[in-house]
Amino acid sequence: MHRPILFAAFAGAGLLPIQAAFAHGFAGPHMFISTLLIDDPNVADEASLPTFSFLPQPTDGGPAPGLYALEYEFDKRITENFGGSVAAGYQWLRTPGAKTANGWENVEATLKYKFYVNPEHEFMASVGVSREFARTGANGTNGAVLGFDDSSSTTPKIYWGKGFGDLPIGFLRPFAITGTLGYTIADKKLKVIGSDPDTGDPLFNNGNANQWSGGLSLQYSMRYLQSQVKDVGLPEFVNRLTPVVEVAWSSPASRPNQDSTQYLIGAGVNYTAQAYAVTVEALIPGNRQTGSHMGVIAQFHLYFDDIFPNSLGKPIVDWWN
Amino acid sequence: MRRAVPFALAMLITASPAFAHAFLERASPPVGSDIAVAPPELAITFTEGVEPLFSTIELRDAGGAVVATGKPHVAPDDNRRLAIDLPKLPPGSYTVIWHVTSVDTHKTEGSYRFTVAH
Repeated sequence: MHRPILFAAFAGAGLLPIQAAFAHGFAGPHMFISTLLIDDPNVADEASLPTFSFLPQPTDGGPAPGLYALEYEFDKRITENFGGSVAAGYQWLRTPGAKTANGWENVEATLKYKFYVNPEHEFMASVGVSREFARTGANGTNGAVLGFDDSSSTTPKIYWGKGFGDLPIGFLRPFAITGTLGYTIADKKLKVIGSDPDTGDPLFNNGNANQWSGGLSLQYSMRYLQSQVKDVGLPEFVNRLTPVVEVAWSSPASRPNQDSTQYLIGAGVNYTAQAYAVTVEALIPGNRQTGSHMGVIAQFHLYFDDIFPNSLGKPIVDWWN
Repeated sequence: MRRAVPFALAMLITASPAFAHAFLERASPPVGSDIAVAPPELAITFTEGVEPLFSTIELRDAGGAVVATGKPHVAPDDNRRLAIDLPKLPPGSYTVIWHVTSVDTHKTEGSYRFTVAH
């Protein structure tokens, strides 16, 4: 599922959401890992607790403010292929020479339905819809500095994942790609309500522009290599690793807007144990609107279907069976 | 978050012992191997215990035909090791297709090849 991580645009232009995501799932023998910047296509019983991130923000001069976030997400299946999630977090924006802005993020809820799985070709697809509830997080001065939306929005999404297991070249078969695409519809449209008498810059209401967002991940499963292709005798610790590269993207889809297109790249490694996973990635701004300094993101992920197989880890409709 | 992290720790403390999906940990003959002579038994060791009644191992030759084997069974002292008895295998490439249910009912599947040289 996803969590909005906020990355500032140039000073004065506000903070723009790029999505973060978590989860895992099987399509045949291929397991899609819990990715951090985009959501994966699976519906599961799990939690990301916590996800920590740090990313220096873009500036038009001077030292870069540092944005820290500590977030959580809880995912619960209602039926085998249909579930929901709730996510939020806390942020700190530390700007040299200025007071630190901090506060809770707006709560976001998502419903998701996994409508297609093809085990033979290691393919999975889902649809979902997310709702960000404005003013459930910090508002006022802190909320404004952190760029939290002051009006709610709804985002229909599609998710997919494809393992490369049907390729004829053995050492390429552990690769997999996952992707997501969403369109955020703001409850209150952004409008120009006047102009600054001193600078002439337009003044806006507290609405938002609509927005496209999405991303891709490329994963290489060492477990798949060892169990499906060739056991090259690596230690079990290495077999649990999945190197991963992700790119998340967002772009305004309506006018007027205060946003710009942003790309954020994550490159790191996932370690999947029996009931949990740990992922650490370097955050690399993909363009100047996203920043010019590297950051880091790390997540501890719990698989409830493994920890609580007879209660919290199974679909709600099966609780009385 | 100050509230959330202690909540997670409390849940872990009260959780039942963790079981999980059964992944292939090692196999004999090894995954992707070239072996001189086929062994009398094919065995797969998983990361979790498996239920032999709800688990299968199928062997196919290079032409895709199913090779008759024994029924899958686990070792008395190790339910992570699922094995089948093999007939004498002629030289060629073979595909192992497995479906297992772990002791906590999670299902996993996979396949791999090995080659008998002589």
